[in-house]
Amino acid sequence: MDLKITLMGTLGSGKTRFISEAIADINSFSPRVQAIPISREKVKDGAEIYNNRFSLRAYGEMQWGISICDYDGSMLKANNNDSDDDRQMLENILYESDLWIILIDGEYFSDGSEADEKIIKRIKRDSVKIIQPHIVECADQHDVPPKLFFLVTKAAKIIGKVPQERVRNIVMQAYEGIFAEKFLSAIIMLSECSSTRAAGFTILFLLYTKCMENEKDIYINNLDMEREREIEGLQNAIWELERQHALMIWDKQRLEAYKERLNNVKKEVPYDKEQSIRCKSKIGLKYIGMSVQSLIDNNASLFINGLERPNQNWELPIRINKERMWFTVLVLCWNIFMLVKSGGIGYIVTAFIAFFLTYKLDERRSIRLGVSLSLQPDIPLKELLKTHVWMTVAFVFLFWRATSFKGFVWAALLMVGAYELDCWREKRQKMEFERNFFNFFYIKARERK
Amino acid sequence: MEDTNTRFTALGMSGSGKTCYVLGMYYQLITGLKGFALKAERESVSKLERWMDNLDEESSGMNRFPAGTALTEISDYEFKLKYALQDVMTFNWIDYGGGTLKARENNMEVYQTLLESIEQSPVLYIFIDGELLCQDTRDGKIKALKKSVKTINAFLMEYAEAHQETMLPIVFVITKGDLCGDYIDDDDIRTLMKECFDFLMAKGIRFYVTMVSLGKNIADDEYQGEVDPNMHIPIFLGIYHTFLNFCVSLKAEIMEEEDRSNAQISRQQNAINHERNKTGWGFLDRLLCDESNIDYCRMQINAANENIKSNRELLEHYKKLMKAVSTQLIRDSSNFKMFEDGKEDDFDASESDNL
Repeated sequence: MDLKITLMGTLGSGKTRFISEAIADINSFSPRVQAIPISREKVKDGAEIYNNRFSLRAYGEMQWGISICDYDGSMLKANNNDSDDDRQMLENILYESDLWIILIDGEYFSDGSEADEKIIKRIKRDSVKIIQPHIVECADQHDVPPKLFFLVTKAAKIIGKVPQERVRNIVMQAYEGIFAEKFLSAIIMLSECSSTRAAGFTILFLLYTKCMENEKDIYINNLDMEREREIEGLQNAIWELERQHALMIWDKQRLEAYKERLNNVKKEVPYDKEQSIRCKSKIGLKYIGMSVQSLIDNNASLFINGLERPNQNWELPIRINKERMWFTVLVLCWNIFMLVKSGGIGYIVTAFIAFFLTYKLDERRSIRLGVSLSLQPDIPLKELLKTHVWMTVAFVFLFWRATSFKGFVWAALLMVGAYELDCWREKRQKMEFERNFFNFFYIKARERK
Repeated sequence: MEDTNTRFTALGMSGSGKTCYVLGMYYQLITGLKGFALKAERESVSKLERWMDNLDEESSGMNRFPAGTALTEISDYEFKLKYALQDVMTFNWIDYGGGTLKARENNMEVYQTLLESIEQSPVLYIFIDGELLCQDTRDGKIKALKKSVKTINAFLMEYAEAHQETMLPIVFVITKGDLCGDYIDDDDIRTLMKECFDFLMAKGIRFYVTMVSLGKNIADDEYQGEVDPNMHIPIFLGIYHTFLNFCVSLKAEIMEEEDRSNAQISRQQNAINHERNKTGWGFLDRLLCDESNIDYCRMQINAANENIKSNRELLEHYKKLMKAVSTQLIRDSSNFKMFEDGKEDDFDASESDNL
């Protein structure tokens, strides 16, 4: 799935800077998510319109193409000196985009001492007047209005001085022509940019949201089709039975059962939460979600406000599964028990450190130990059990025999072999393990030093 | 059935503010108003944008405003009003030199277009130059207005005569409200209407009076004041009436179609029953029953149900938009006056509640 993003901003609003920062930001968030620049080319000779393309990889697995159009902000005005052809070309590119990021200069808010009305008027006059007609035109050309994302840039001066709720209200009132009741959803983000965070974060956030919506749509479509088929089948069966004049007792029972089932199917909620979790389990997407969540958690000044947007359930795809966590604790206890039986107190401490690192850093860093496999929500429990049996055996050998180099190599080989056998079907997990395994050695080497 | 395209015509003498009204209305609604936004057709956008930029140039003083429209010039603007980015109505608005109303013979082409436009308009706008009303005495105001509306009254009477059966609403727009606001009060408006447009104070005629301006302080420091147009009410009144008519006729049509669909459903249901009970003998009925007939009837029933459902959804959609327009007008009702059957009345949008 490729993502076409439009930046909507007047001259000097920081579109070019946003694009150049986006790639650098993304690469600094997490080693699992990488942005690779592909090209920046002029769409047409003589026209100040550029197409910036880069690809985004999450954990070397999934890949998305992202293209962002950069242009001279004055071209958004109909009465500028550019040729009609150039403007038409720009409009075509903009209106074909999936998502629009509307840049609002934080300086409109000054230090927040002015009355809201004055700030709103200023935003309306300098920005809304130019941008909103394009939103309206785009909605007019396509039946669905564009997805909008408002980004208040250069917000360093207002953070702490202007309450986030007030910023939200001002933005909403400035763009009052498009906000009304429940017709439209929009997200407003307040960022401390000009620091480097906002651009990359915005791209990841939008990509994640878009992917989630796609997954949900696909799922709902499939579910609806299934339900439709079942309803049709039941309806036919009921008609078939009702057509008969003299129904036998078992026919009557069948008829009742069909009717009951039909009612239940009709009542079923189209969107099943549990099923949606399955949609979200794609590992690449999960890491994007994790990066986004981690950025939200660790950056208090990022303010995201989902206005009337169906609540994105951030927690499910990226938080630790509680049941699995208790399972991990049990396995750890078993490991400790085995270690106590076979080794000394130092091993117990190591195991605790391993567990602590796994639990605390799992979401933010790539430091994962074998134990953390149980924190992967998308591995079936049975697989986990098998893994843990092998891992336990391997751990015991490792700690028992690690005092000599030969024993260490044997234990390591056993550990890798066990895991290879267990997870040969799951390439992703294999990669995960390899990385964790070498991390483990790294920690071990540091400890030895 | 009526459609959501319409045309509004403004009658006003030279300098009454017709062109500035187009600009001010566009300026106000292009930046949005409580979910409403305006879209102009591509050809007019660059002209309107240029005017807006000039208007924002405060230092230009009087030159900020668009120049008066030449006698031979006529512009037909097409606008689309949207609510939450959904289409409410498309309307055309013609702008012409106010002198055309007087110099009919010298400017036949424009005059003819104007007459056609009046004929097509479901709501007529009368523009009154607010500057004329900046008089200290009530008599002075009456005299000035009477003098100014002589020509317009002739048109108005013609219009009233042509629409005798169902008189369409008229909206009086007092422009330059920032200048005349201090000179006229509610009593003045009542008196002015009675004195100058007495023939409209009759049964079956509804008209509105509202005041507009490009900004409360725009005339300050030799017209270097801030732009803050308040010009939406007249156009919303026109939209309200036209859209209401559209919704009423749509509802009637949908109801009619629903009756037809219901009749179709019951016919098909009877046909199914008949197919299943040809003899009244279960065994024979089963033998004689033609499944393909029943399937065909079921298909017809489903199609009729679908039709009813989609029609109802459509009506609901338009009801919501109608509600939005009427709610906005109720919010603004303190800023305009409504006269019906010769007396002043409160605007409560009760017609739209019955949809």
